[in-house]
Amino acid sequence: MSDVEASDVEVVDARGLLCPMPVIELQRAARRSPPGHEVRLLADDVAAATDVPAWCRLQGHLLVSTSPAAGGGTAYVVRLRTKADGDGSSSAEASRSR
Amino acid sequence: MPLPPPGYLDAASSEPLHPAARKVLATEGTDDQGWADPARLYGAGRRVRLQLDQARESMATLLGCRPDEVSFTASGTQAVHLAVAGLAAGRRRVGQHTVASAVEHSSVLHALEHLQHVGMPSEAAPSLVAVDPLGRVDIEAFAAALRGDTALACLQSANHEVGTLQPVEEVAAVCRAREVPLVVDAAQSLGRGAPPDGWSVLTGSAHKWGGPGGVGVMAVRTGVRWRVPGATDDRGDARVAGFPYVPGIRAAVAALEAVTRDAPAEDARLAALTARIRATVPAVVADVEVVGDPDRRLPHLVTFSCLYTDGEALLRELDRAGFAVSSGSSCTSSTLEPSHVLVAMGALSHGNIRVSLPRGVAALDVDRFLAVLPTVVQRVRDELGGPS
Repeated sequence: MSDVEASDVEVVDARGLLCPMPVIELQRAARRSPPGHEVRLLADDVAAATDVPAWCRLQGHLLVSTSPAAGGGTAYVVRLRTKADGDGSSSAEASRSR
Repeated sequence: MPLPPPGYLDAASSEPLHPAARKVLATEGTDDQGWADPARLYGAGRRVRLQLDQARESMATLLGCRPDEVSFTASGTQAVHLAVAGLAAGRRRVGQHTVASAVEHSSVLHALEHLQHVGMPSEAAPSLVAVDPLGRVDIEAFAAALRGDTALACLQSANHEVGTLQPVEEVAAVCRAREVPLVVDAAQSLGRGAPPDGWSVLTGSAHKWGGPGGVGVMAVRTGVRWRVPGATDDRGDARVAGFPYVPGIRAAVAALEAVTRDAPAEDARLAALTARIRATVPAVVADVEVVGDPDRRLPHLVTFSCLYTDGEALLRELDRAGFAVSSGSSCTSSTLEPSHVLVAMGALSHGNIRVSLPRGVAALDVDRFLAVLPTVVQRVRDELGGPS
């Protein structure tokens, strides 16, 4: 898995929510968590399969793994960026200007 | 130059009727004898026949082909369906496999899927070729997908959702070398610059270039093995059955002639306006991704996705503010499937807005749109509880 202790992984269950709510929940969890920690998002909305990787790319986070979740849906494990990773805004034409 | 209604920024769905088309419909569409059967030999019939033949010749000149290669259809979708089904019928002995880019218009994908229902299901499953993050198809992957039993291949001239131009000439050369006929869906690009080259069958839709609805075009190159896929009739056009609406066809041709004539200047003006949108949106709205190729693209179309919003809510708020745009997001729609184009590109699929400028659009409309957009996005984010 990873070098982060299980207790440090924030789990967000967004199953039953439609896009863009899983990504909004993921963003909230990212705000609560310290840089470098992992967030485990559970989602069953089909759009999450595209939008979670896109969100990671735009925000400079790392999508560590994608796997079927126990009890249904998909588990997305995201490692939050650290200061050293930069803010991710240089990729594509993303902007975080405000 | 047309004068589209203020706030109408959805030309990729349908271009407002061009004045040249309006004029033809107002005269020939209400002509005392314009309803006559062009297949009949009396005076009124012959006159309509002459009008139809003239329209076919003008269309051939516009498309860069021969008049006998041109057929008028009842829609762009019908043209695509006939193009695909006719090649599949003509190449039945070769096989039923098909190849297309993963970002084709749904009419192409539906036509290819339908072959599976009428043919050999597993062998006929279309190979959908991947695109890069800008939405451009991979030429080598396209070549690699062609097989000995490939009946036909399809490639759009430009993508309808993100505006990226496809490498039609390169893919056409690959298909020609492998003797696989290529359908080019030019619905989004006809009337904008030179028509595509290298196609075996070309399709288009009049209401995308300012012609009326109910008119599509299909051109089949001489020598291409295309067979009528369904029931035929005894009328003049051996490819498309049914009585044609000649005033509509004439209006469609008049519009295409007019927009083609104006294209060099108008395309440059629209490209500058969409470039302004591409540059301004990320500067005034946080967490936005502008998608599609920034350079090799349609002049009038720009697409972006706003994180933490939903496309339908954005459309609703923009409509309230007086703007008509469209969205590749379908977050809350009945299908629940995100746009296959955005998915294939790996682009953010939610909060998507496609702006497509109609010919003659006022620059002021673009400025007004850019002025209201930040407030609209923030309102939707607030509703959903996203970041502010």
